[in-house]
Amino acid sequence: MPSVSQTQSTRSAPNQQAQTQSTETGSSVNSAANSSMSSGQQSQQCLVGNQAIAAKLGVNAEKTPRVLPTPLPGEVGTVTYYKARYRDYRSRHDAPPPPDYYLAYGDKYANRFTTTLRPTLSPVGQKWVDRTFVLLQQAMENRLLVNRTAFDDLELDTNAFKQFAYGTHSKAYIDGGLSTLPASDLLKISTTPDLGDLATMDGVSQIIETGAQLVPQWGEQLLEEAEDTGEQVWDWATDW
Amino acid sequence: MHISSILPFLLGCTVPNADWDVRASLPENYFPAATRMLAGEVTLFGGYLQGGDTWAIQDRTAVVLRWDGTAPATVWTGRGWVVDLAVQGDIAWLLAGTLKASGADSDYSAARSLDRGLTWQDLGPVTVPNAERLLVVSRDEAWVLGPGVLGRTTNGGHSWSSVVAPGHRNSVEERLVGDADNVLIVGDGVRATKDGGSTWLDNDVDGSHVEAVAGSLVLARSGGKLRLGRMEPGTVRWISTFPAGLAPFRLVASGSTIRFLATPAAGHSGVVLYQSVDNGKSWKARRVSSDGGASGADIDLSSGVAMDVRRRILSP
Repeated sequence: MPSVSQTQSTRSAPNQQAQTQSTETGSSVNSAANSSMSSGQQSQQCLVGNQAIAAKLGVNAEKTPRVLPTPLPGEVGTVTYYKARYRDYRSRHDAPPPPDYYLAYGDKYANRFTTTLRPTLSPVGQKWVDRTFVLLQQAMENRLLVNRTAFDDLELDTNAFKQFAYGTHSKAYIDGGLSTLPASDLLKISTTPDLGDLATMDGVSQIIETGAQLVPQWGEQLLEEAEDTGEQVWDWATDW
Repeated sequence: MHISSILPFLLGCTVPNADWDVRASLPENYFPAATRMLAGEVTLFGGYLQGGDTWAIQDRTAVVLRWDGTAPATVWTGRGWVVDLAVQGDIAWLLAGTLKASGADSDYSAARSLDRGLTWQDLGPVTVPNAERLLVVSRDEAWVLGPGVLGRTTNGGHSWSSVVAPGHRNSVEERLVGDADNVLIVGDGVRATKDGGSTWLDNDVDGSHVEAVAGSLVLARSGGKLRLGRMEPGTVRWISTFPAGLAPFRLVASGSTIRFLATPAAGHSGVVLYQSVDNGKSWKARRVSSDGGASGADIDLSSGVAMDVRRRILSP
């Protein structure tokens, strides 16, 4: 049993009107609140959700009904998907800022991979870029679709959002066909200019880690190619 | 020297790898929602199997796989996906979701096992909207938490009731934890009820955000630090400090042994296992090559299970 304070205390929260609670046993408020959930109470839940968001943003809940994220199925698989998600967020929230993943990571990588990297890859590598693109964005869209309110909460926490988004990367790389890539494509992926100047280098490192785990002999090929190309790869790989 | 042995160091990860081996394989198209160890070396993996090749929601099949050290066995399937899985002794509950006909948001249902996941009974709909997290208290009592919602059943899922607790419900920032007779909401401090939510006791844990709880131990974040502390009446005594980028999700402790799992900073794959055998005075950290973050790994006091990106089961 965790050691909680011996006096029963109510954590007060702003704008909790219908949900005002007392911790005294048997209070009528609690009795009324502990009632069967009906579909009619879903609007009450929206109100609670509104109050939660409003409290976070410091605004009056009743004047700011919660607007849920809009599904964007038509944007999945396009280079503009992350900007579209960003704009959708901005249409619903003035503050806090949108998850930095949308522009600093997702959109940046989308453009880097499609405009800088893709033309240099083999046909197989280009297919990998195209498929992985779709899978990464579909994963994000699916998270939204299953629970729009929870997705809205996730967007309001930029670190949690980044954790979620990056959590989809490894499997997307694999299902996109990473194992079909020649080692030369893998090397190009890891040495595309500007992919190494971001903290999101982590995302690229996932490709290499995933690749090395998946196809151990790549490790050897990568080593050989790196030795052939000299310092460039090692500078990038060790420039943390 | 093989590159795979130095990759973690090249890639900025200086935590040594845990000595966990491949034990078995899950289906390659398995996507985890929750991994739960039970006593007796049984682990339940709950999530979904993805059909097709475009990750369309409509091509999901909810599944629970049971692993007892031999080949994993499918013990439950349903439409949609498993949202969460919770265990208490020999009892396991699952929360499953299916996409609404409108194409957005989900309907929920529950199922229960009383024999450590061997057989399951469907319990019907969970009439709590937006449920994300599940806690099982007993055979007939379970709780769910989601954005703006907290609900409970005491009759084996036959009906569900709304529960009011101090603060705002947020499934990103909060977790449900069972502790002896108490149900805890862990997040903005720790809130505890032992009467089904009629009354709550509150510990704000020095104003910190609590990530995990085991007994009186808490892993909490404040002032940019992640710390382990022991809750005492009216206060918390901090014991250890950890890298701020860690996101702990599972804490277990008994006697002088404390262990926890954490996902590293976003973008780094795998999970990190921290262990102390001297009440937190000193720690060993080991990296486990796990995919799925908190969804794909679990530990108990002496062992652990994780699933890697190739869907292989890893264990010591």
